[in-house]
Amino acid sequence: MGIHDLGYRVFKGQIGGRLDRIWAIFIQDFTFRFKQPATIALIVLNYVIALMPMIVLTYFVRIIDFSFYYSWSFIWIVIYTAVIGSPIISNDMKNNAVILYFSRPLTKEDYFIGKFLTLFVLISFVTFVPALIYSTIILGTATESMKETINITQVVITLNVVGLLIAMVFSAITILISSMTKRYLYAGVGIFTVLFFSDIMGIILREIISKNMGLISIWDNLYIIADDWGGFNAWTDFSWSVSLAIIFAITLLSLAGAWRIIRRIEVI
Amino acid sequence: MALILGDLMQVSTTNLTKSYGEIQALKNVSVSISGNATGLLGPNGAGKSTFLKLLLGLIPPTTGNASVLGYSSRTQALSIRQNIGYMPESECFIPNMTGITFLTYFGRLSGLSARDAIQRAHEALYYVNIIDERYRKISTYSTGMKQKLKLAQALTHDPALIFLDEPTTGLDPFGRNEMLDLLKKLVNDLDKHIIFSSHILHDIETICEDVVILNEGEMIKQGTLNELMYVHNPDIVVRIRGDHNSYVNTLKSAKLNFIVRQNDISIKNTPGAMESILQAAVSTGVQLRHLEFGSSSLEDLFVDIIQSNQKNNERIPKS
Repeated sequence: MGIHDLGYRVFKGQIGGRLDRIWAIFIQDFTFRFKQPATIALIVLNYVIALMPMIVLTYFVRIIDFSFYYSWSFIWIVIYTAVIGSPIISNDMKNNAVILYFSRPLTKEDYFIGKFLTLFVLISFVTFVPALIYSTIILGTATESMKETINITQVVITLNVVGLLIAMVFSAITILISSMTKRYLYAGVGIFTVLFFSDIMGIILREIISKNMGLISIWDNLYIIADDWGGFNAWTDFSWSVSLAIIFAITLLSLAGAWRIIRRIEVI
Repeated sequence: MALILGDLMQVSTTNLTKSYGEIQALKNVSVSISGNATGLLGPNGAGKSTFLKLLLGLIPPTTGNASVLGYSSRTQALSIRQNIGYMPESECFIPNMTGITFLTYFGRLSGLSARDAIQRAHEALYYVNIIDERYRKISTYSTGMKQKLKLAQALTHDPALIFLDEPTTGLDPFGRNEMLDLLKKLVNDLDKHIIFSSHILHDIETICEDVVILNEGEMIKQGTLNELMYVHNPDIVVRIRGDHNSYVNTLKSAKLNFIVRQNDISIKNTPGAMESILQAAVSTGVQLRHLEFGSSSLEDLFVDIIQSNQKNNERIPKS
Protein backbone atom coordinates (compact mmCIF):
# COMPACT_ATOMS: atom_id res chain seq x y z
CA MET A 1 0.00 0.00 0.00
CA GLY A 2 1.32 3.41 -0.94
CA ILE A 3 1.74 6.38 1.34
CA HIS A 4 -1.63 8.00 1.78
CA ASP A 5 -2.32 11.44 3.21
CA LEU A 6 -4.91 10.84 5.89
CA GLY A 7 -6.03 14.45 6.08
CA TYR A 8 -9.75 15.07 5.74
CA ARG A 9 -10.71 15.78 2.17
CA VAL A 10 -13.79 16.44 0.10
CA PHE A 11 -15.42 13.22 -1.10
CA LYS A 12 -15.67 13.04 -4.86
CA GLY A 13 -16.69 9.41 -5.35
CA GLN A 14 -19.94 7.87 -6.47
CA ILE A 15 -22.85 7.13 -4.16
CA GLY A 16 -24.35 3.68 -4.51
CA GLY A 17 -28.01 2.76 -4.58
CA ARG A 18 -30.37 0.74 -2.45
CA LEU A 19 -28.97 -2.65 -3.46
CA ASP A 20 -25.48 -1.57 -2.37
CA ARG A 21 -26.81 -0.77 1.09
CA ILE A 22 -28.67 -4.08 1.43
CA TRP A 23 -25.52 -5.83 0.25
CA ALA A 24 -23.46 -3.90 2.82
CA ILE A 25 -25.73 -5.11 5.64
CA PHE A 26 -25.52 -8.68 4.38
CA ILE A 27 -21.75 -8.72 3.91
CA GLN A 28 -21.02 -7.04 7.23
CA ASP A 29 -23.37 -9.20 9.29
CA PHE A 30 -22.44 -12.37 7.48
CA THR A 31 -18.67 -11.97 7.84
CA PHE A 32 -19.03 -10.77 11.43
CA ARG A 33 -21.06 -13.81 12.48
CA PHE A 34 -19.21 -16.28 10.29
CA LYS A 35 -15.96 -15.36 12.05
CA GLN A 36 -17.39 -16.24 15.46
CA PRO A 37 -15.84 -19.43 16.87
CA ALA A 38 -19.31 -20.72 17.87
CA THR A 39 -20.52 -20.47 14.28
CA ILE A 40 -17.56 -22.38 12.88
CA ALA A 41 -17.73 -25.00 15.66
CA LEU A 42 -21.42 -25.68 15.06
CA ILE A 43 -21.00 -25.92 11.29
CA VAL A 44 -18.12 -28.40 11.72
CA LEU A 45 -20.15 -30.36 14.27
CA ASN A 46 -23.10 -30.56 11.90
CA TYR A 47 -20.91 -31.79 9.07
CA VAL A 48 -19.13 -34.36 11.23
CA ILE A 49 -22.21 -35.73 12.96
CA ALA A 50 -24.81 -35.59 10.21
CA LEU A 51 -23.07 -35.29 6.86
CA MET A 52 -20.08 -37.58 7.34
CA PRO A 53 -22.13 -40.68 8.27
CA MET A 54 -24.30 -40.07 5.21
CA ILE A 55 -21.25 -39.92 2.98
CA VAL A 56 -19.85 -43.08 4.56
CA LEU A 57 -23.22 -44.82 4.19
CA THR A 58 -23.53 -43.88 0.53
CA TYR A 59 -19.93 -44.54 -0.41
CA PHE A 60 -19.32 -47.80 1.44
CA VAL A 61 -22.74 -49.33 2.14
CA ARG A 62 -24.30 -47.98 -1.04
CA ILE A 63 -27.43 -46.75 0.69
CA ILE A 64 -29.17 -43.45 0.12
CA ASP A 65 -31.51 -42.70 2.99
CA PHE A 66 -32.96 -39.31 3.86
CA SER A 67 -34.29 -40.24 7.24
CA PHE A 68 -30.86 -40.79 8.69
CA TYR A 69 -29.61 -37.41 7.57
CA TYR A 70 -32.62 -35.42 8.73
CA SER A 71 -32.77 -37.21 12.09
CA TRP A 72 -29.14 -36.53 12.88
CA SER A 73 -28.85 -33.03 11.55
CA PHE A 74 -32.06 -31.67 13.12
CA ILE A 75 -30.81 -30.86 16.62
CA TRP A 76 -27.58 -29.26 15.32
CA ILE A 77 -29.40 -27.11 12.84
CA VAL A 78 -31.76 -25.93 15.60
CA ILE A 79 -28.90 -25.13 18.01
CA TYR A 80 -26.92 -23.41 15.26
CA THR A 81 -29.94 -21.30 14.24
CA ALA A 82 -30.61 -20.25 17.84
CA VAL A 83 -26.97 -19.33 18.46
CA ILE A 84 -26.21 -17.39 15.29
CA GLY A 85 -29.68 -15.95 14.72
CA SER A 86 -30.75 -14.74 18.14
CA PRO A 87 -28.70 -11.47 18.19
CA ILE A 88 -29.46 -10.44 14.61
CA ILE A 89 -32.11 -7.81 15.46
CA SER A 90 -32.19 -7.94 19.27
CA ASN A 91 -28.60 -6.71 19.60
CA ASP A 92 -29.20 -3.75 17.29
CA MET A 93 -32.16 -2.75 19.44
CA LYS A 94 -30.31 -3.32 22.69
CA ASN A 95 -27.26 -1.33 21.58
CA ASN A 96 -29.49 1.35 20.04
CA ALA A 97 -27.58 0.89 16.77
CA VAL A 98 -30.92 1.22 14.96
CA ILE A 99 -30.63 4.99 15.35
CA LEU A 100 -27.45 4.96 13.27
CA TYR A 101 -28.89 2.58 10.68
CA PHE A 102 -31.90 4.78 10.13
CA SER A 103 -29.96 8.05 10.19
CA ARG A 104 -28.48 6.72 6.93
CA PRO A 105 -30.39 6.76 3.65
CA LEU A 106 -31.66 3.30 4.52
CA THR A 107 -35.30 2.27 4.71
CA LYS A 108 -36.69 -0.21 7.21
CA GLU A 109 -37.42 -2.50 4.23
CA ASP A 110 -33.72 -2.44 3.28
CA TYR A 111 -32.73 -3.26 6.84
CA PHE A 112 -35.26 -6.09 7.02
CA ILE A 113 -34.20 -7.59 3.69
CA GLY A 114 -30.50 -7.32 4.56
CA LYS A 115 -30.99 -9.07 7.90
CA PHE A 116 -33.18 -11.82 6.40
CA LEU A 117 -30.68 -12.42 3.64
CA THR A 118 -27.89 -12.75 6.21
CA LEU A 119 -29.82 -15.34 8.19
CA PHE A 120 -30.86 -17.24 5.09
CA VAL A 121 -27.28 -17.61 3.87
CA LEU A 122 -25.91 -18.43 7.33
CA ILE A 123 -28.54 -21.12 7.92
CA SER A 124 -27.96 -22.44 4.40
CA PHE A 125 -24.47 -23.41 5.55
CA VAL A 126 -25.99 -26.21 7.62
CA THR A 127 -28.92 -27.05 5.34
CA PHE A 128 -28.31 -26.28 1.69
CA VAL A 129 -24.50 -26.55 1.57
CA PRO A 130 -24.39 -30.06 3.14
CA ALA A 131 -27.16 -31.05 0.71
CA LEU A 132 -25.07 -29.73 -2.14
CA ILE A 133 -21.99 -31.61 -0.94
CA TYR A 134 -23.99 -34.78 -0.44
CA SER A 135 -25.61 -34.42 -3.87
CA THR A 136 -22.22 -34.13 -5.51
CA ILE A 137 -21.09 -37.29 -3.74
CA ILE A 138 -24.24 -39.17 -4.72
CA LEU A 139 -23.84 -38.13 -8.34
CA GLY A 140 -20.18 -39.12 -8.31
CA THR A 141 -20.48 -42.45 -6.56
CA ALA A 142 -23.92 -43.85 -7.42
CA THR A 143 -23.63 -47.30 -8.92
CA GLU A 144 -25.80 -48.67 -11.70
CA SER A 145 -27.73 -50.84 -9.25
CA MET A 146 -28.48 -47.76 -7.09
CA LYS A 147 -29.65 -45.87 -10.15
CA GLU A 148 -32.03 -48.71 -10.96
CA THR A 149 -33.73 -48.58 -7.56
CA ILE A 150 -33.94 -44.84 -7.04
CA ASN A 151 -34.15 -41.80 -9.24
CA ILE A 152 -30.84 -40.07 -8.50
CA THR A 153 -31.77 -36.79 -10.17
CA GLN A 154 -34.99 -36.63 -8.19
CA VAL A 155 -33.11 -37.29 -4.95
CA VAL A 156 -30.49 -34.62 -5.67
CA ILE A 157 -33.07 -31.95 -6.54
CA THR A 158 -35.14 -32.85 -3.47
CA LEU A 159 -32.15 -32.63 -1.14
CA ASN A 160 -31.19 -29.18 -2.36
CA VAL A 161 -34.66 -27.69 -2.53
CA VAL A 162 -35.53 -28.97 0.94
CA GLY A 163 -32.22 -27.54 2.18
CA LEU A 164 -33.33 -24.14 0.89
CA LEU A 165 -36.83 -24.57 2.37
CA ILE A 166 -35.36 -25.28 5.82
CA ALA A 167 -33.19 -22.17 5.55
CA MET A 168 -36.20 -20.10 4.48
CA VAL A 169 -38.61 -21.11 7.23
CA PHE A 170 -35.96 -21.13 9.97
CA SER A 171 -34.73 -17.67 8.93
CA ALA A 172 -38.27 -16.29 9.03
CA ILE A 173 -38.96 -17.69 12.51
CA THR A 174 -35.56 -16.51 13.75
CA ILE A 175 -35.96 -12.93 12.51
CA LEU A 176 -39.41 -12.78 14.13
CA ILE A 177 -38.24 -13.97 17.54
CA SER A 178 -35.05 -11.88 17.47
CA SER A 179 -37.08 -8.73 16.78
CA MET A 180 -39.39 -9.43 19.73
CA THR A 181 -36.82 -8.83 22.46
CA LYS A 182 -33.73 -6.74 23.20
CA ARG A 183 -32.09 -9.71 24.94
CA TYR A 184 -30.47 -12.15 22.58
CA LEU A 185 -30.45 -14.83 25.25
CA TYR A 186 -34.24 -14.75 25.46
CA ALA A 187 -34.39 -14.76 21.67
CA GLY A 188 -32.08 -17.79 21.54
CA VAL A 189 -34.21 -19.70 24.03
CA GLY A 190 -37.33 -18.69 22.10
CA ILE A 191 -35.95 -19.87 18.77
CA PHE A 192 -34.79 -23.17 20.25
CA THR A 193 -38.13 -23.71 21.99
CA VAL A 194 -40.23 -23.04 18.89
CA LEU A 195 -38.12 -25.15 16.55
CA PHE A 196 -37.31 -28.01 18.90
CA PHE A 197 -40.52 -28.32 20.85
CA SER A 198 -42.77 -28.07 17.81
CA ASP A 199 -41.05 -31.28 16.73
CA ILE A 200 -41.37 -32.91 20.16
CA MET A 201 -45.03 -31.91 20.37
CA GLY A 202 -45.57 -33.29 16.88
CA ILE A 203 -44.08 -36.64 17.89
CA ILE A 204 -46.12 -36.86 21.09
CA LEU A 205 -49.43 -35.85 19.50
CA ARG A 206 -48.74 -38.15 16.56
CA GLU A 207 -48.47 -41.06 18.94
CA ILE A 208 -51.30 -40.11 21.29
CA ILE A 209 -54.01 -38.59 19.08
CA SER A 210 -53.47 -39.15 15.39
CA LYS A 211 -50.53 -39.38 13.07
CA ASN A 212 -51.79 -36.36 11.20
CA MET A 213 -51.21 -34.26 14.29
CA GLY A 214 -47.55 -34.53 13.41
CA LEU A 215 -48.19 -31.73 10.96
CA ILE A 216 -47.75 -29.22 13.77
CA SER A 217 -44.05 -30.08 13.66
CA ILE A 218 -42.15 -27.80 11.28
CA TRP A 219 -39.49 -30.41 10.87
CA ASP A 220 -41.96 -33.22 10.11
CA ASN A 221 -43.53 -31.14 7.38
CA LEU A 222 -40.12 -30.76 5.79
CA TYR A 223 -39.64 -34.48 6.23
CA ILE A 224 -42.91 -35.21 4.41
CA ILE A 225 -41.89 -32.98 1.50
CA ALA A 226 -38.48 -34.63 1.29
CA ASP A 227 -39.91 -38.15 1.42
CA ASP A 228 -42.61 -37.41 -1.12
CA TRP A 229 -40.38 -35.63 -3.60
CA GLY A 230 -37.53 -38.04 -3.14
CA GLY A 231 -39.72 -41.05 -3.88
CA PHE A 232 -39.64 -42.53 -0.39
CA ASN A 233 -42.59 -43.63 1.72
CA ALA A 234 -43.89 -40.94 4.02
CA TRP A 235 -45.41 -41.68 7.43
CA THR A 236 -48.58 -39.68 6.81
CA ASP A 237 -51.45 -39.75 4.38
CA PHE A 238 -51.00 -36.07 3.62
CA SER A 239 -49.30 -35.17 0.39
CA TRP A 240 -46.33 -32.89 0.14
CA SER A 241 -48.55 -30.02 -1.04
CA VAL A 242 -50.22 -29.71 2.37
CA SER A 243 -46.85 -29.65 4.13
CA LEU A 244 -45.45 -27.17 1.64
CA ALA A 245 -48.47 -24.91 2.20
CA ILE A 246 -47.88 -25.14 5.97
CA ILE A 247 -44.20 -24.26 5.57
CA PHE A 248 -45.01 -21.26 3.36
CA ALA A 249 -47.76 -20.14 5.73
CA ILE A 250 -45.36 -20.27 8.72
CA THR A 251 -42.73 -18.39 6.72
CA LEU A 252 -45.11 -15.68 5.59
CA LEU A 253 -46.71 -15.23 9.00
CA SER A 254 -43.30 -15.02 10.67
CA LEU A 255 -42.03 -12.50 8.12
CA ALA A 256 -45.19 -10.43 8.42
CA GLY A 257 -44.87 -10.43 12.22
CA ALA A 258 -41.20 -9.46 12.09
CA TRP A 259 -41.88 -6.72 9.56
CA ARG A 260 -44.68 -5.34 11.74
CA ILE A 261 -42.27 -5.07 14.67
CA ILE A 262 -39.39 -3.61 12.67
CA ARG A 263 -41.67 -1.08 10.97
CA ARG A 264 -42.72 0.16 14.39
CA ILE A 265 -39.23 0.53 15.81
CA GLU A 266 -39.16 4.04 17.25
CA VAL A 267 -35.84 5.78 17.03
CA ILE A 268 -35.52 7.25 20.51
CA MET B 1 -20.31 14.96 -4.89
CA ALA B 2 -19.90 17.36 -1.97
CA LEU B 3 -22.81 19.72 -1.62
CA ILE B 4 -21.93 23.40 -1.22
CA LEU B 5 -24.53 25.08 0.92
CA GLY B 6 -23.58 28.72 0.58
CA ASP B 7 -26.64 30.79 1.44
CA LEU B 8 -29.06 27.91 0.90
CA MET B 9 -31.71 27.69 3.58
CA GLN B 10 -30.60 24.67 5.55
CA VAL B 11 -33.60 24.11 7.72
CA SER B 12 -37.07 25.52 7.59
CA THR B 13 -40.02 24.40 9.68
CA THR B 14 -43.63 25.52 9.79
CA ASN B 15 -45.77 24.84 12.86
CA LEU B 16 -43.86 21.66 13.54
CA THR B 17 -45.58 19.70 16.29
CA LYS B 18 -44.87 16.28 17.74
CA SER B 19 -47.16 14.68 20.28
CA TYR B 20 -46.83 11.43 22.15
CA GLY B 21 -50.36 10.83 23.34
CA GLU B 22 -51.27 13.83 25.44
CA ILE B 23 -47.68 14.97 25.81
CA GLN B 24 -46.55 17.56 23.30
CA ALA B 25 -42.80 17.18 22.82
CA LEU B 26 -42.71 20.00 20.27
CA LYS B 27 -45.33 22.74 19.84
CA ASN B 28 -45.79 24.69 16.61
CA VAL B 29 -42.13 25.35 16.01
CA SER B 30 -41.48 27.60 13.02
CA VAL B 31 -37.84 28.40 12.35
CA SER B 32 -35.50 29.13 9.48
CA ILE B 33 -31.83 28.25 9.87
CA SER B 34 -29.15 29.24 7.42
CA GLY B 35 -26.08 30.08 9.48
CA ASN B 36 -22.75 28.26 9.54
CA ALA B 37 -23.07 27.21 13.16
CA THR B 38 -26.43 27.29 14.85
CA GLY B 39 -26.95 26.38 18.46
CA LEU B 40 -30.11 24.63 19.53
CA LEU B 41 -30.29 25.64 23.12
CA GLY B 42 -32.64 24.54 25.83
CA PRO B 43 -32.83 22.76 29.14
CA ASN B 44 -33.19 18.98 29.31
CA GLY B 45 -36.55 17.93 27.93
CA ALA B 46 -36.96 21.11 25.87
CA GLY B 47 -37.51 19.10 22.67
CA LYS B 48 -34.07 19.53 21.07
CA SER B 49 -33.50 15.86 20.24
CA THR B 50 -37.09 15.46 19.04
CA PHE B 51 -36.58 18.47 16.78
CA LEU B 52 -33.46 16.95 15.20
CA LYS B 53 -35.13 13.55 14.73
CA LEU B 54 -38.10 15.22 13.06
CA LEU B 55 -35.73 17.03 10.70
CA LEU B 56 -34.05 13.76 9.77
CA GLY B 57 -37.43 12.12 9.16
CA LEU B 58 -36.66 9.53 11.83
CA ILE B 59 -39.99 10.24 13.46
CA PRO B 60 -43.04 11.68 11.69
CA PRO B 61 -44.42 15.04 12.83
CA THR B 62 -47.95 15.11 14.24
CA THR B 63 -48.67 18.32 12.34
CA GLY B 64 -46.63 20.88 10.45
CA ASN B 65 -43.80 20.56 7.98
CA ALA B 66 -40.03 20.58 7.96
CA SER B 67 -37.63 20.91 5.09
CA VAL B 68 -33.89 20.34 5.21
CA LEU B 69 -31.68 21.48 2.32
CA GLY B 70 -34.86 21.90 0.32
CA TYR B 71 -36.06 18.32 0.91
CA SER B 72 -39.28 17.61 2.78
CA SER B 73 -38.77 15.50 5.90
CA ARG B 74 -42.10 13.78 5.29
CA THR B 75 -41.54 12.66 1.72
CA GLN B 76 -37.81 12.98 1.02
CA ALA B 77 -36.22 11.76 4.25
CA LEU B 78 -33.74 9.54 2.39
CA SER B 79 -32.40 12.52 0.41
CA ILE B 80 -32.04 14.44 3.67
CA ARG B 81 -30.13 11.61 5.32
CA GLN B 82 -27.89 11.27 2.27
CA ASN B 83 -26.72 14.85 2.71
CA ILE B 84 -26.70 15.12 6.49
CA GLY B 85 -24.35 13.81 9.12
CA TYR B 86 -25.96 12.96 12.44
CA MET B 87 -24.25 12.50 15.75
CA PRO B 88 -26.85 11.16 18.19
CA GLU B 89 -26.78 11.85 21.90
CA SER B 90 -27.23 8.28 23.06
CA GLU B 91 -24.67 5.51 22.85
CA CYS B 92 -25.40 3.54 19.72
CA PHE B 93 -22.46 1.30 18.91
CA ILE B 94 -22.01 -2.32 17.93
CA PRO B 95 -19.64 -3.13 20.81
CA ASN B 96 -17.82 -6.11 19.29
CA MET B 97 -16.78 -4.17 16.22
CA THR B 98 -13.49 -2.36 15.88
CA GLY B 99 -13.56 1.39 15.30
CA ILE B 100 -12.45 1.07 11.69
CA THR B 101 -14.99 -1.67 10.86
CA PHE B 102 -17.76 0.35 12.45
CA LEU B 103 -16.96 3.44 10.42
CA THR B 104 -16.46 1.53 7.19
CA TYR B 105 -19.78 -0.22 7.69
CA PHE B 106 -21.75 2.96 8.26
CA GLY B 107 -19.91 4.61 5.38
CA ARG B 108 -21.14 1.79 3.16
CA LEU B 109 -24.66 2.25 4.47
CA SER B 110 -24.38 5.87 3.34
CA GLY B 111 -23.77 4.54 -0.15
CA LEU B 112 -19.96 4.65 -0.35
CA SER B 113 -18.19 1.85 -2.20
CA ALA B 114 -16.13 -0.57 -0.09
CA ARG B 115 -12.90 1.12 -1.17
CA ASP B 116 -14.15 4.66 -0.57
CA ALA B 117 -15.72 3.69 2.75
CA ILE B 118 -12.50 2.28 4.19
CA GLN B 119 -10.49 5.27 2.98
CA ARG B 120 -13.00 7.75 4.38
CA ALA B 121 -13.13 5.79 7.64
CA HIS B 122 -9.38 6.23 8.04
CA GLU B 123 -9.60 9.93 7.22
CA ALA B 124 -12.44 10.54 9.66
CA LEU B 125 -10.68 8.65 12.46
CA TYR B 126 -7.51 10.61 11.77
CA TYR B 127 -9.48 13.84 11.86
CA VAL B 128 -11.00 13.10 15.26
CA ASN B 129 -7.64 11.88 16.51
CA ILE B 130 -8.35 8.23 17.33
CA ILE B 131 -6.52 6.72 14.37
CA ASP B 132 -4.18 4.73 16.66
CA GLU B 133 -7.11 3.01 18.33
CA ARG B 134 -8.86 2.05 15.10
CA TYR B 135 -8.25 -1.69 15.41
CA ARG B 136 -9.47 -1.87 18.99
CA LYS B 137 -12.96 -3.09 19.82
CA ILE B 138 -15.36 -0.24 20.56
CA SER B 139 -16.25 -1.84 23.90
CA THR B 140 -12.73 -0.95 25.09
CA TYR B 141 -13.03 2.74 24.15
CA SER B 142 -13.27 5.48 26.78
CA THR B 143 -16.25 7.87 26.81
CA GLY B 144 -14.20 10.54 25.05
CA MET B 145 -13.15 8.14 22.31
CA LYS B 146 -16.72 6.99 21.84
CA GLN B 147 -17.89 10.58 21.43
CA LYS B 148 -15.17 11.14 18.84
CA LEU B 149 -16.18 7.94 17.06
CA LYS B 150 -19.76 9.18 16.93
CA LEU B 151 -18.53 12.40 15.39
CA ALA B 152 -16.37 10.47 12.91
CA GLN B 153 -19.31 8.36 11.72
CA ALA B 154 -21.22 11.56 11.01
CA LEU B 155 -18.35 12.68 8.73
CA THR B 156 -17.62 9.53 6.71
CA HIS B 157 -19.83 10.45 3.75
CA ASP B 158 -18.63 14.08 3.79
CA PRO B 159 -21.98 15.75 4.49
CA ALA B 160 -22.36 19.49 4.09
CA LEU B 161 -24.60 19.85 7.13
CA ILE B 162 -24.11 18.02 10.43
CA PHE B 163 -26.59 17.65 13.28
CA LEU B 164 -24.85 17.26 16.61
CA ASP B 165 -26.97 16.20 19.55
CA GLU B 166 -25.24 17.04 22.84
CA PRO B 167 -21.74 16.22 21.54
CA THR B 168 -19.99 17.08 24.80
CA THR B 169 -22.18 14.91 27.04
CA GLY B 170 -20.20 12.90 29.56
CA LEU B 171 -16.84 14.42 28.67
CA ASP B 172 -14.34 15.68 31.21
CA PRO B 173 -13.13 19.30 30.80
CA PHE B 174 -10.16 18.23 28.69
CA GLY B 175 -12.28 16.02 26.44
CA ARG B 176 -14.88 18.76 26.17
CA ASN B 177 -12.34 21.31 25.00
CA GLU B 178 -10.96 18.81 22.53
CA MET B 179 -14.45 18.17 21.14
CA LEU B 180 -15.17 21.91 20.90
CA ASP B 181 -11.88 22.44 19.06
CA LEU B 182 -12.84 19.72 16.58
CA LEU B 183 -16.21 21.34 16.01
CA LYS B 184 -14.61 24.77 15.54
CA LYS B 185 -12.27 23.27 12.96
CA LEU B 186 -15.23 21.65 11.21
CA VAL B 187 -16.90 25.02 10.78
CA ASN B 188 -13.86 27.20 10.17
CA ASP B 189 -11.46 24.95 8.27
CA LEU B 190 -13.70 22.42 6.53
CA ASP B 191 -16.61 24.80 5.82
CA LYS B 192 -19.12 22.42 7.33
CA HIS B 193 -22.41 23.77 8.58
CA ILE B 194 -23.53 22.52 11.93
CA ILE B 195 -26.64 22.52 14.04
CA PHE B 196 -25.47 21.93 17.54
CA SER B 197 -27.93 20.97 20.24
CA SER B 198 -26.85 21.47 23.81
CA HIS B 199 -27.98 22.58 27.23
CA ILE B 200 -24.43 23.72 28.01
CA LEU B 201 -24.41 27.43 27.30
CA HIS B 202 -20.68 27.80 27.19
CA ASP B 203 -20.40 25.24 24.41
CA ILE B 204 -22.94 27.08 22.27
CA GLU B 205 -21.25 30.41 22.99
CA THR B 206 -17.89 28.97 21.94
CA ILE B 207 -19.00 27.55 18.60
CA CYS B 208 -22.18 29.16 17.32
CA GLU B 209 -23.09 32.46 15.74
CA ASP B 210 -26.83 31.79 15.68
CA VAL B 211 -29.06 30.43 18.38
CA VAL B 212 -32.51 28.89 18.54
CA ILE B 213 -33.81 28.65 22.09
CA LEU B 214 -36.33 25.95 22.90
CA ASN B 215 -38.18 25.49 26.15
CA GLU B 216 -40.93 23.01 26.97
CA GLY B 217 -41.27 22.17 23.28
CA GLU B 218 -41.69 25.79 22.20
CA MET B 219 -39.31 27.95 20.21
CA ILE B 220 -38.94 31.05 22.33
CA LYS B 221 -36.11 32.99 20.65
CA GLN B 222 -34.12 32.88 17.47
CA GLY B 223 -31.38 35.13 16.17
CA THR B 224 -27.66 35.72 16.08
CA LEU B 225 -25.94 35.65 19.43
CA ASN B 226 -25.03 39.35 19.07
CA GLU B 227 -28.60 40.35 18.27
CA LEU B 228 -29.99 38.41 21.20
CA MET B 229 -27.46 39.91 23.57
CA TYR B 230 -28.20 43.41 22.30
CA VAL B 231 -31.97 43.03 22.40
CA HIS B 232 -31.61 41.63 25.85
CA ASN B 233 -30.47 45.05 27.15
CA PRO B 234 -26.97 44.43 28.37
CA ASP B 235 -25.72 46.80 31.05
CA ILE B 236 -23.91 50.00 30.14
CA VAL B 237 -20.41 49.94 31.57
CA VAL B 238 -18.73 53.31 32.20
CA ARG B 239 -15.30 54.31 33.55
CA ILE B 240 -14.73 57.86 34.70
CA ARG B 241 -11.94 60.19 35.82
CA GLY B 242 -12.87 62.75 38.44
CA ASP B 243 -15.06 62.86 41.53
CA HIS B 244 -16.26 59.29 41.71
CA ASN B 245 -18.55 59.78 44.74
CA SER B 246 -20.46 62.75 43.38
CA TYR B 247 -20.94 60.94 40.02
CA VAL B 248 -22.34 57.87 41.82
CA ASN B 249 -24.63 60.07 43.93
CA THR B 250 -25.94 61.81 40.80
CA LEU B 251 -26.69 58.39 39.22
CA LYS B 252 -28.54 57.47 42.42
CA SER B 253 -30.62 60.61 42.33
CA ALA B 254 -31.45 59.86 38.66
CA LYS B 255 -32.86 56.54 40.00
CA LEU B 256 -30.60 54.35 37.89
CA ASN B 257 -29.78 50.79 38.93
CA PHE B 258 -26.05 50.24 38.96
CA ILE B 259 -23.25 48.24 40.49
CA VAL B 260 -19.77 49.63 41.16
CA ARG B 261 -17.07 47.13 40.19
CA GLN B 262 -13.58 48.46 41.02
CA ASN B 263 -13.07 51.18 38.36
CA ASP B 264 -16.17 50.33 36.34
CA ILE B 265 -19.77 51.26 36.98
CA SER B 266 -22.22 48.83 35.44
CA ILE B 267 -25.56 50.58 34.90
CA LYS B 268 -28.84 48.86 34.00
CA ASN B 269 -29.86 49.85 30.48
CA THR B 270 -33.37 51.16 31.13
CA PRO B 271 -35.10 53.69 28.83
CA GLY B 272 -33.39 57.08 29.17
CA ALA B 273 -30.42 55.60 31.02
CA MET B 274 -27.89 56.75 28.44
CA GLU B 275 -29.07 60.38 28.66
CA SER B 276 -28.92 60.33 32.46
CA ILE B 277 -25.39 58.90 32.37
CA LEU B 278 -24.20 61.66 30.08
CA GLN B 279 -26.02 64.41 32.02
CA ALA B 280 -24.52 63.13 35.29
CA ALA B 281 -21.07 63.39 33.75
CA VAL B 282 -21.76 66.98 32.62
CA SER B 283 -23.26 68.09 35.93
CA THR B 284 -20.48 66.60 38.09
CA GLY B 285 -17.69 67.60 35.71
CA VAL B 286 -16.20 64.09 35.46
CA GLN B 287 -14.50 62.82 32.38
CA LEU B 288 -16.05 59.76 30.71
CA ARG B 289 -13.02 57.65 29.84
CA HIS B 290 -14.85 54.55 28.68
CA LEU B 291 -18.44 53.66 27.75
CA GLU B 292 -19.66 50.38 26.29
CA PHE B 293 -22.52 47.95 26.29
CA GLY B 294 -21.45 45.24 28.67
CA SER B 295 -21.64 41.64 27.55
CA SER B 296 -24.03 39.73 29.70
CA SER B 297 -23.22 36.08 29.22
CA LEU B 298 -25.44 33.74 27.27
CA GLU B 299 -26.14 32.14 30.59
CA ASP B 300 -27.75 35.36 31.92
CA LEU B 301 -29.68 35.73 28.72
CA PHE B 302 -30.82 32.12 28.78
CA VAL B 303 -31.97 32.20 32.39
CA ASP B 304 -33.85 35.47 31.84
CA ILE B 305 -35.55 34.20 28.69
CA ILE B 306 -36.57 30.86 30.22
CA GLN B 307 -37.87 32.58 33.36
CA SER B 308 -39.86 35.21 31.47
CA ASN B 309 -41.27 32.47 29.21
CA GLN B 310 -42.37 30.47 32.24
CA LYS B 311 -43.99 33.55 33.77
CA ASN B 312 -45.86 34.20 30.51
CA ASN B 313 -47.07 30.60 30.40
CA GLU B 314 -48.30 30.84 33.99
CA ARG B 315 -50.27 33.97 33.13
CA ILE B 316 -52.13 32.19 30.33
CA PRO B 317 -55.14 30.51 31.96
CA LYS B 318 -55.37 26.81 31.22
CA SER B 319 -58.55 25.92 29.38
